[in-house]
Amino acid sequence: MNSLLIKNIIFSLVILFIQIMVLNQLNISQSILPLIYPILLFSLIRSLNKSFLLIMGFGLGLVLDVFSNTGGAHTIACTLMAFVRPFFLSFIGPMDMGSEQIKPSIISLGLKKYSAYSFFLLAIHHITFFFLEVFSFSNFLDTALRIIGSLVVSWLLVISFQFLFNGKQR
Amino acid sequence: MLLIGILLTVQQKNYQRTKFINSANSISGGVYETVNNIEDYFSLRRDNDVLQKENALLRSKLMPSLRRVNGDYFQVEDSLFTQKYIYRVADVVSNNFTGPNNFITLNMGSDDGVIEEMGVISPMGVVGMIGAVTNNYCTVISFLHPKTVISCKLKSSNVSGLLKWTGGDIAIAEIKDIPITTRITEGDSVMTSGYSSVFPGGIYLGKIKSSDKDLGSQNQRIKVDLNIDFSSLNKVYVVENLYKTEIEALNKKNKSLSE
Repeated sequence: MNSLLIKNIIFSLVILFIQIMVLNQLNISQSILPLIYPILLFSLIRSLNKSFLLIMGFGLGLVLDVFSNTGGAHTIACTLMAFVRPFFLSFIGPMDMGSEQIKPSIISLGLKKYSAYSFFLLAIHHITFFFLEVFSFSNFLDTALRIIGSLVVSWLLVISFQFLFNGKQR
Repeated sequence: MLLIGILLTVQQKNYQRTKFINSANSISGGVYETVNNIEDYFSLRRDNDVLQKENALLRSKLMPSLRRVNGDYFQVEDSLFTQKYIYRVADVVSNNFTGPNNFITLNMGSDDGVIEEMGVISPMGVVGMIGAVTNNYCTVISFLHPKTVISCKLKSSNVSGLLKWTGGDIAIAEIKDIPITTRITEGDSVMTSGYSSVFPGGIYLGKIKSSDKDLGSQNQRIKVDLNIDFSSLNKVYVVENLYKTEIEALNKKNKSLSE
């Protein structure tokens, strides 16, 4: 249990480092800002207390806001995502292994279900985040393009991370 | 919690009030600085080039490189001139330029004498204005932020206007309030006007790319090709105007008089 905790903490730090020090600093293009840190919320165990999940989302968003000067955009998007996660999980149905203790991952859900699960949560997160970032509906097309571009890249990154970190257990 | 988030977002939109949550605090500033120290080595060559160019420019303005036109004029150290602007060199530890609201973090704070609303320039042009300041770090509200406006003038006609980034391309900015009667020549230089108390006058900003007339408002919209390249910022100068408090006090007095 203890080693699992340490493993999770290290995994979180690695993800945060990649997000803040690499992806945020890359400045790839106007319409692409990959956000992979939501993966930390995706992979929390299924039976987790809802209020604890909300607090996790809030804290995670706050950390990102502090580093990227976005006011409260990450915080709101993350809290919202943490709020809708249980509904999506129940919508997807029981996992293959049947246990409530299991983490939603590419193994426990299968590629198809996991892709859908991560795509919809990421979509909710990205739409809220990028609209809050500009805080206006003028230049709607630019924002929409930014959402779509970022969403596709983040989604591919999240799925490939799942393959990377769950490969051995297969 | 959602309410707290909304509160944070709204206060962020308030220009100059980006105090609460920002990358100027010691934790995120420290992390950014450590990584930046490593990254600095990769851009040494380019930075040297930029600095050398600026040195050459400054050297050309020194006394020995000026030819005396006639015997009547000469320069002496006297009380006619006093220092008006002070420049401090700062390192960019974090720089964003692809988002709709861009911020830059510098490794300088109130301990180094930096205060809010100072100007930030680079050898290539104007970078932005200081937003939040903590003891050792500060955030710069980049020129690539919808609320940053620079007072500028055209070199040939001396007409002044406000230069603003309109989103999208980071190499293009716009001046909207030049009267329709002003003759615009493409390729004309755009400089800072020095009317604001933040930036000294005569900093080269870029050249005019195109202009189109808007008959409705009797103004022309001028597109400016910016000289500064935001993707390669590394060393910047923080500009302090020593007379700023005096100018502001004067403006305040004017306001209260006219009311």
